Amino acid sequence: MAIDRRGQEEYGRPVRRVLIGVLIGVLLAIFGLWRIDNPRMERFRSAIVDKVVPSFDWALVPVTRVSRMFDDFQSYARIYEQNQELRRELQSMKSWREAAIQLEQENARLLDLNKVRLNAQLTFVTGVVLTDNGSPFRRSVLLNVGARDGIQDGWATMDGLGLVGRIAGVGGKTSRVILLTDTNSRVPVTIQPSGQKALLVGDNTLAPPVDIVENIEDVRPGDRVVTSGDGKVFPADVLVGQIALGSDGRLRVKLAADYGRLEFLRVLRTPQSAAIGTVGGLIAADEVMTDAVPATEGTDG
Amino acid sequence: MVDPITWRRFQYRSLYLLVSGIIIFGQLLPLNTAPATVLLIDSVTGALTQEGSPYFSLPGPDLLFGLTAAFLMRRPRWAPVALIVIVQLMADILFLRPLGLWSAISLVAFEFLRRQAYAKNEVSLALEFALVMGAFTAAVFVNGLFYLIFVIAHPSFAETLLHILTTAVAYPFVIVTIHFILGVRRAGVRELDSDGVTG
Repeated sequence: MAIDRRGQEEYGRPVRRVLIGVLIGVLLAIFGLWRIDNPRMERFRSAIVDKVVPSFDWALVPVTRVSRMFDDFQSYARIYEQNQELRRELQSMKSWREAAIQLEQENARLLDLNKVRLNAQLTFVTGVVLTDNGSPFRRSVLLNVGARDGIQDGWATMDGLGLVGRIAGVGGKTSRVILLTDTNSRVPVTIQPSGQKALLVGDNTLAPPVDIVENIEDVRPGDRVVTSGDGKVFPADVLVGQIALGSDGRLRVKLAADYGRLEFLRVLRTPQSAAIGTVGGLIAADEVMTDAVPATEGTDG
Repeated sequence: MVDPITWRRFQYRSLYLLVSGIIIFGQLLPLNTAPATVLLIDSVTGALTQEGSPYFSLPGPDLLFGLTAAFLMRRPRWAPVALIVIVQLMADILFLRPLGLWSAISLVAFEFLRRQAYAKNEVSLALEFALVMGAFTAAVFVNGLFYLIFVIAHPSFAETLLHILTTAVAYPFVIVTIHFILGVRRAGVRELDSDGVTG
C-alpha cells in the first residue's frame, strides 16, 4: 500500500481520522443548528448570498442573455409566420379590449352603487431574476431587489400573467422567491366560479396539485384558480391558473405564469402581511391571541 | 524557490477551486426554472397533453460530486479535505440545501473514495465508476434518510433515482474532461514525491 511507504503516516493517519471526525461533527452541528434555529440560519444564508451573487452580476447577465438568444433562435427562423399570427391575435384582442373597458366601467358603476370597499390598491416593485437555485429539487429564484427596496418576507410575486411565488429570505440587495412549484410551497386558493377553498401544494412538477378541496364534484377542468387571501400572507384574487386533470386523475393547476422563462418579476407590496420571526409558530396563532386579549379586557371592564 | 511538486500541487488545487466555482455558477444561471413536466388530460378533447418541455425537466447531475470524486480517484492530494468542505458548504448555502448536511455526508463518501485510491495501485475505469457511483448512491440515500428523520420536505423517490441516474450518465464525461482537458492523470511511478507519496 502506497501510504505505508511513508514513515510518518503511521502517526499521521489516526490524527487525520480524528480531525475528519471532528469536521464531520462540526458540519452536523451546523445542520442541527439550521434545523433548530431555522430563521437565524436562513438570515445568515441570505446575507452570504447577498454578498456573493451580486458580485457575479457582470457575468450572470450576459451569459443568461446569450443562452436565451440561443433558445430564441428557432423562433427567429419563423419570424414572418409569427408576425402574421400576432397581427391576427392583436385584431381579436382589440375587440376584447373594447369589451373589457365597457365591462370595467359598468363594474365600477355597480360597485359604486353597492358601496363596496376594495382592498387598498396594490403597488409593486419589479425585480430582475439573477439566479435560480442550483439544486435540482428546489424551485426558487433570486431577485435583484431586497431590503433596501422595502421588500419584506412573505410578499407575493407574480410575472405579468399570474402568481409565481412568495418572498422567502430577504438580503440587503437580493431576495429569494420560493416558486409555487417548490415542494415547500403551500398557498391557499379559491377555485372560481364554485368558490371552493383549496390548498395549492407544490410537488416539483409544472402543474402543482390542489389539495383539501371541500366538494370535489363542483370543480371542473378549466375553472379559474385565484389566491384566497386566507392566512393574510397573500393578497386575495391574484390569478394563479386554471384547473386541469392530471393523468393520475388528480386535480392540478395549470399555472398562468410562464415558468419556462422567468425574467422580470413583480413583488406585490402587501404592507399588512405578518412577519415570520420565530420557528414553527403558526401565523394564525398570534391573530387568535390578539383577538383574545381585548375580549378578556372587555369582560373585566 | 518553491519546489516544483508543491508548486504543481498548488496549481491543481487552485484549478479544483476554479472549476468548482464554474460548476456552481453554471448551475445558478436562471436557465432552468421550469420543473418536471406533467401529463394533463385536455378538458375538451380528452387527449393527454404534456405540460412543459421535456428537454430540461430531468433533475441535473451532481457535477460537483463527480468532479471531486474524479480528482480523488486520480490525485487524492490535489483535492484536500479543507477545499472539499469549503466548496460543499458554499454549494449548500447557494443551492438552498440544509446547511452542512450534504457536506458532512459527502465528506464521508469522499474519504471512503480517498482510501480506495490510496489502497489500490491500479484502479480500472469500470471499478472506479462502480466505486464512485456506489458511494454517491449511498450518500444520496443517507441524505434522504436524514430528510425523513428531520422532517424536511424531500423530493420523491423516483426523482432521487433519476438524479442518481443522470449523475451516472454524466460521470464518464466528467472523467474525459478531467483527463484530457484539465490534465489530471494518475501519477506514474516516476512521479513520486520526495517522501515517497504520489503527487
